[in-house]
Amino acid sequence: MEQQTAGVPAFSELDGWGLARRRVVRALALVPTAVGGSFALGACSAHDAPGPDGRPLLALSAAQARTLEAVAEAVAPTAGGFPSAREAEVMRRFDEELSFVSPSIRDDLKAALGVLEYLPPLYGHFGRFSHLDRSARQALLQQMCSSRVELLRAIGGNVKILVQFFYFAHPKTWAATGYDGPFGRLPERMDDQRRWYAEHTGASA
Amino acid sequence: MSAPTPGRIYQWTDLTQMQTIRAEVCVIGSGCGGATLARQLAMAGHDVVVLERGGYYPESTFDQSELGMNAKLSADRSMRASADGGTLLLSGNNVGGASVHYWADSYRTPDDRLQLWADRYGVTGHDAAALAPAWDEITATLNVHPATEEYHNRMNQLLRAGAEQLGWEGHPVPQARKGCVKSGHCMQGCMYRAKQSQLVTHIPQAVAHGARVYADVEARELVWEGGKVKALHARVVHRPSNRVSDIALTIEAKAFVLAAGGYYSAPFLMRQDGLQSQLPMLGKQFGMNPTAMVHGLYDEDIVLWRNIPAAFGVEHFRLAKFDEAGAYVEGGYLLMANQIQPGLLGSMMPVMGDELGQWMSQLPRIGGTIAWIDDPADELGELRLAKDGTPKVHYPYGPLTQAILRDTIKKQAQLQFAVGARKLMVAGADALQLNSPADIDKIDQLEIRAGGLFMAAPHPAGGCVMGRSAKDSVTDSSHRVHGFDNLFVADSSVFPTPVSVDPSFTIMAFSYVAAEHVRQHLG
Ligand SMILES: Cc1cc2nc3c(=O)[nH]c(=O)nc-3n(C[C@H](O)[C@H](O)[C@H](O)COP(=O)(O)OP(=O)(O)OC[C@H]3O[C@@H](n4cnc5c(N)ncnc54)[C@H](O)[C@@H]3O)c2cc1C
Repeated sequence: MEQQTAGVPAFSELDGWGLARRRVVRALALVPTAVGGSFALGACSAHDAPGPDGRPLLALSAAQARTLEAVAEAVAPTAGGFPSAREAEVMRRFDEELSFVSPSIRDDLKAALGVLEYLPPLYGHFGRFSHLDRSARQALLQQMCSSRVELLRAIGGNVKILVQFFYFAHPKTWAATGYDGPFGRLPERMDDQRRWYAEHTGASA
Repeated sequence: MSAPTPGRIYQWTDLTQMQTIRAEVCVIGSGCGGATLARQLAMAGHDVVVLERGGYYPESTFDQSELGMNAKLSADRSMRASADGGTLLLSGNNVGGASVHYWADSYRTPDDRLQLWADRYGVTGHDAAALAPAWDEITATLNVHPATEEYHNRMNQLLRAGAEQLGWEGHPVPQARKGCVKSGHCMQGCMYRAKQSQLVTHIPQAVAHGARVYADVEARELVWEGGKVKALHARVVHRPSNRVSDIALTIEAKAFVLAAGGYYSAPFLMRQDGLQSQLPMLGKQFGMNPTAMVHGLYDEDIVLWRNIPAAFGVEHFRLAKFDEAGAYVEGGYLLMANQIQPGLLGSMMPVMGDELGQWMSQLPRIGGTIAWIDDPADELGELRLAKDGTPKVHYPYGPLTQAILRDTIKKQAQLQFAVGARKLMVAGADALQLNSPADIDKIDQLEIRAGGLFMAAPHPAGGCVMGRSAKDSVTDSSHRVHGFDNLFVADSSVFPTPVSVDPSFTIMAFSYVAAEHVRQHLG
């Protein structure tokens, strides 16, 4: 059950699912391959199942979280002592950030993940994005980023940019980059929203 | 004269009950526009309340964490993009607004821009002579001074050397700082109170003179009759969830000033019943100084993330140049050293996997430049409303805009190769890499389109532009919304075009003028 704070509307009341659906339908017009009923992004509850890391999700559905993690695994370097996308908590941070932005941004990005997941057949791949091997995922992302179709560029570009933002901002990546950390190496001071997210996803704050 | 009774800053934890707040002036937004105006009016003895949708984050809550501070200070955590998905829209959402994460470059508005606004758009009372006293005072209040040598990090030294070599005019950039420790965390909020943001200057000064600041309060609905706004309905934001609660506040005042920032002021008015048809220019003539970036790999350590961001600025190309036949030649942007922490830098790298790892494993040796373009006046965009009432930016990236972007990428490449870059990466989806100056011509083939270049837009302007009548503008030159007696706008949304330099100093000086008009209204 979604938790509700006194005086504060629940997530479900605030999410503009109608908007997300319309955008996905529009995007679907670009995906002529039969994806049928399984492409019912709007029908997923954002809270139906835990994320790939086993913890509850607040903004993403479990399916969207899997797609996002598949992007992050494709984008993150594997050599040179870099941590994995899971170690750098990219999917988790994405869910957290999305939990606090305006509904229109949240919906667009969730819809983007839905399109991404079911797009591969358009580019000649069999199977959904999260089922492709890493190099096929990389190739598809690159094709999307330089696509002639504005919507596909926007989807590929924005998801990739955010994934890389959350990955390289994570302290576990710093040793491999030579970044010496925030000035004075101060510890993080969690704000109300980080604590709130941690409480609602069962993590220790 | 007795000392004024100080006001205070209220937050969501103080605002647990529905209530009516009375004041002489109600200001919506606490950034450079709102805080400056509130300070002016409070110091003149007026009873002022300021509403701020974002939280109050004093320095004790800062930690210099890139993501953590982005969450505290940036509107929608810097995740809002233009309608075409191609440009990230950056602004503030906290007491002090965007000034808390800005770079502190403090340029006076160039005379040519003030003249353009007067001649083409009919703006009066905002010429250099009218604004100079405000700038003189703000220069003192914010300790504005050109960046001295010790504040030029390696990238700024290279930028200056390159500009000298190429014969491009540039200067140390005027900075609003006092006792800077060179942490390099301007964009994470300065925990040393060195950067002279509104949070440490005009806000505390306004509060010391009695202003009451309400953080975590979203202004929603104006109530007006016959051109006179009587009240404003607002809601308290539950900060932990960032959701608007059902705790309602009503503010009754003699004057209302909208200073919600370039991305939010026009949408706020558009959401008011019937105003869009009364003010057809609402949301129009919108610019945002899109930025283009080029990263470079050097043989020496650059360390982009320390010291101040823009110590030196190349102003040579500020205005676009045209030939006698009117064809574009070059220019139309300010060129600076870039400063970004690893998350943002990594996000702007258009490669992935191990190629991304190879670039990022050399992070200390990555340098970079950035340019914000002066949006051409005839190719401006428009603000509309998204379904949830938040701003949606439609920006055309017209032919001249594209030419300017291409030119600045070429000039950035030219400069970086001149000062020793081994190879360059244009921050854009096409992942264009240049290995020598001979490759610069490849930029001619680069398609400039939405989502092609990775761009951010930190300087919104317009949407409530100032002008002669409701046919060509939203406010008159007294900052009053056409058709209203006591509703004013005081932020970058009144600029008829972008400023052609960083806008904060223009915003603040305009707020001095706006404050004077509000004072006259109060009598
Ligand atoms: C990364 C970055 C670096 C920059 N560097 C520079 C620089 O070096 N020099 C320079 O001159 N400029 C710089 N700028 C731009 C500059 O910071 C802004 O133009 C300026 O601070 C804007 O001031 P403002 O008052 O117009 O708006 P804002 O600072 O955006 O303030 C508006 C405030 O209104 C609040 N608000 C919005 N809607 C509501 C509502 N409905 N109810 C209540 N409150 C509301 C917002 O939360 C916000 O805090 C930079 C910007 C960015 C993003």
